[in-house]
Amino acid sequence: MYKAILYKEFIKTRAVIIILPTLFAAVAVFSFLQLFEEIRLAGKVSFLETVIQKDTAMFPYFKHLPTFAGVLLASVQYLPEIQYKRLKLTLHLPIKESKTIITMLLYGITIVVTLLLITIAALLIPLAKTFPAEIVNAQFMTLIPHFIAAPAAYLLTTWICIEPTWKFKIPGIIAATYALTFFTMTAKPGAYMPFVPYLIAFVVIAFCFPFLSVARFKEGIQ
Amino acid sequence: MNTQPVIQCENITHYYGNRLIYRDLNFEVQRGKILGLLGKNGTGKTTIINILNGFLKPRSGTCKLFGEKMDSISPKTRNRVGILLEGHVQHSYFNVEQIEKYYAGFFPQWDKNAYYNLIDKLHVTRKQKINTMSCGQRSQVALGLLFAQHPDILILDDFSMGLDPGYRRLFVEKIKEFAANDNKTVFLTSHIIQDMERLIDDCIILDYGKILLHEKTQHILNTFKRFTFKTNATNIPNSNILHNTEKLGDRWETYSFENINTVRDNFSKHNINVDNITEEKLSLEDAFIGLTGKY
Amino acid sequence: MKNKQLLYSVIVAFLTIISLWAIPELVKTASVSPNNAPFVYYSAPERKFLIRETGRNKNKFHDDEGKTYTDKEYDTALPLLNFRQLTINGEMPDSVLGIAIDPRQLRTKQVHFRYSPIEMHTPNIGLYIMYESLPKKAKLESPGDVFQIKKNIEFIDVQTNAVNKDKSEKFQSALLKAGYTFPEQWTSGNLNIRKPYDEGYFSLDNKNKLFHVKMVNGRPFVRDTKLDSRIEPAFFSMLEVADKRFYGFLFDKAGNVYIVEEKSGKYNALQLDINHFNPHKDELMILGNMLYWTVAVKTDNGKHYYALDTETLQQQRYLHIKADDNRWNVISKWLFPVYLTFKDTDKHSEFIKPRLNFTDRNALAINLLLALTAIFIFHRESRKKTACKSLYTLIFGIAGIVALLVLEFATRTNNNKHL
Repeated sequence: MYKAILYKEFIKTRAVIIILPTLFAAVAVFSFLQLFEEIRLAGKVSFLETVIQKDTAMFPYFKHLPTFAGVLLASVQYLPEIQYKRLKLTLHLPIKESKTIITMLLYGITIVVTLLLITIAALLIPLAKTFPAEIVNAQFMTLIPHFIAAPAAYLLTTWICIEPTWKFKIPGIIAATYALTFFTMTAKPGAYMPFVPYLIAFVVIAFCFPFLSVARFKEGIQ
Repeated sequence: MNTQPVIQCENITHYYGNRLIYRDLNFEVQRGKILGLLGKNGTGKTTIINILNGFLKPRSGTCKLFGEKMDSISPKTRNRVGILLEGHVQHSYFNVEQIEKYYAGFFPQWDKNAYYNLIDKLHVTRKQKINTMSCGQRSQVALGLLFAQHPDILILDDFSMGLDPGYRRLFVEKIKEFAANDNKTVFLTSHIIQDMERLIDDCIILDYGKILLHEKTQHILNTFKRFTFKTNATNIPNSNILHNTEKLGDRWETYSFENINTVRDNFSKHNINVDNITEEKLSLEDAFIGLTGKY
Repeated sequence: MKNKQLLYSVIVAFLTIISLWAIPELVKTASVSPNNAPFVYYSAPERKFLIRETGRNKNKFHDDEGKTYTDKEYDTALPLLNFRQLTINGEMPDSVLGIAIDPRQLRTKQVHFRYSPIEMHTPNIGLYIMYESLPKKAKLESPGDVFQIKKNIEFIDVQTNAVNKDKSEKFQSALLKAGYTFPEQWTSGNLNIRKPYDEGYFSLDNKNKLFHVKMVNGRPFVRDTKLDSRIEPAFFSMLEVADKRFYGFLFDKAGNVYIVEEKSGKYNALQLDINHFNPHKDELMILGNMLYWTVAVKTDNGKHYYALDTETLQQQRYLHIKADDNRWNVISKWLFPVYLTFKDTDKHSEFIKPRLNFTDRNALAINLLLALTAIFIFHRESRKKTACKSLYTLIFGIAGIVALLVLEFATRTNNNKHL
């Protein structure tokens, strides 16, 4: 039964599963090309000195991209469920509703987290061949909060998509937008580290948000 | 033999905002019956389907499906229930093959052939996406999936919506075929009454706020008649045996379960002289209009 | 049903946290007002602090005893600050307080220094650049490598990204020979190549001993400063002054501020004669000339100005100016007894983390008012629910009632039945 649920989610999202890694790869390649260009123009020594003195983020385009990935995946996964209230078909399946929803959510989270892990590796492994470990570590600490935004954005978007009433969707959108800014504040490398445990805790708690929307959907709230 | 009703609705009261849909609605569907819930648009047919399947919380009252309350139907029971949502809503991003593969994963009793027997009659390829099909073709996909599931009860919400006569007739025949097997139960809603006559055993007619009638279809067809007459009276008083009395041109018409003599006696009691009173047998559609009135 | 109530509670908590941050943030943005702190400088001829007002009283001048000055009088009273303008006008005196003014000394004795706690509370990449302190050319050159100093010292060649083992070993031995105990606690220097000269770094070892580390003619230079053992260094801020009198400012854990000098190979910490300075919370600005240093310390209760003798750093005069509340401070004291921020509102820390900012007890009045309003708004619910919501509002104020109202609006059915 879980295989069937995952199959359905895959069919819905297969375009996005191709688009997102392609987009991330393109942005990563572009970032590296830009990086190498700056190194060629300024010289590696001067470039590294600037990075150290000015705490430069080497991958600025990845600040908002993970949030976008989370929102896109959740939209593609759950908007079809809400269109014509198709979610009724999913909730009618002969499997405990909570298990169905958990499976769907874990599918999305797994996709998003896998994408992020691969991206982190793709960015930092080449970086480690070129720069000292401290630089790699600094870039990792810069990226981490932005990347944690992806599962947060996914869960918040899911919550909002499934919510049946605009009366709750609109404040939800406002609150979610504010919440996602917590993940993308401009900060020096490492400045976010005290906040990262809170961000992770928020993602864990946000996992329960969609269940409220499902409960409200089931009540037929309009 | 299990005599517990398959569906039980007790004292269902529901409002949309301040608009009353029904108050203290009570009915049962016995095993092996085809019950039609008929009513005009807005009388709450889809609402009761949603309440029954746990997709809507009524203001008060409970519904039970195979003895289980509607907000806690077990997966085992859901396995026995085949549901067709209004508009033949399906996962239309699937193609013909994919949707069968998807649902097959949930039902141990899944019968692939029952699905493809229906689908192969359509002019569609197995790779065709459902959202590119016509309304009729989509309805057959939905029906095929239901039959493949082999449920004990089919709940169909307005199955004829958007279908042309050919597909409607096909649906009716297939449902009858399904119900004829093994004590299966069908609970369906519709506002297209003409299809129901050949299909439903029992009939609930919903009016705004309440059940107007719950009777065997054959009983309605046999006993409910239209009477037309002439009279000089300008006003016909209300009577509990007459329904929707109105003047059409120079003649009056009314409807009743009573025979012509009882109807004539009723007029006499109210000192109304009637001439040329005629009695007509009705189709289910005419009977429905006679009971619920014209818009 | 219980689960649903729990989920609603989680959402209310979420909305409250967002409101606790967003609403004050919006009010703050709307109420931003310029910082109109006056400019204060010690006048050597007058032997008083001269104050130039800003904001509405822009370009009004007076001293710390209330005497007012014209623009011209002000310029004349501060010859060591305004020497350029006075020289252009031909009004620069030959001497001040009987001391002849040497134009060269005027420039070389100028000290401009600023310290903010953000320097201590900022993440550190952990990489530094060791410039050649005795360069062959007039200006500093990039060494082509960077170093880290934590559990050991390691130089990494930038081009090859490989450890320069030879150089690393040389510096490692020099550190150990000088008595340095790893791991390092902190290392402070000036990473900017655009400085007049380089004096390397000051590094605090694991045993709280301060070491001076630099590279001279390509070779490691490491010295234990052997400062007074009573000094527990908290932070060091490098400053390349034109006359090379000292290396920078040392802040200790006891709240004292020193300059670190070196004479004939001996290091000395000369204390600034100012009140207790908390390097975690207070800001420091020094404008120094050949005769006096004007030291401004910003604390929670305003600005403290000290006039210190340049040679001895002993206090000559003191002035305290209480802080003017800006518009936001005034508003927040009445609206938000507590609000949430993630960046430090005082800009004393780069680190992002949740911070509860408490304003004033007066603001609890608004919480009380809102709590009473909540009783009225939610009176149709059960007594227990109304009491809970009222208490919630009492604690969280505007943020709490906004969260509850959003939920109320979103979940109320048209027949006023609450979910």
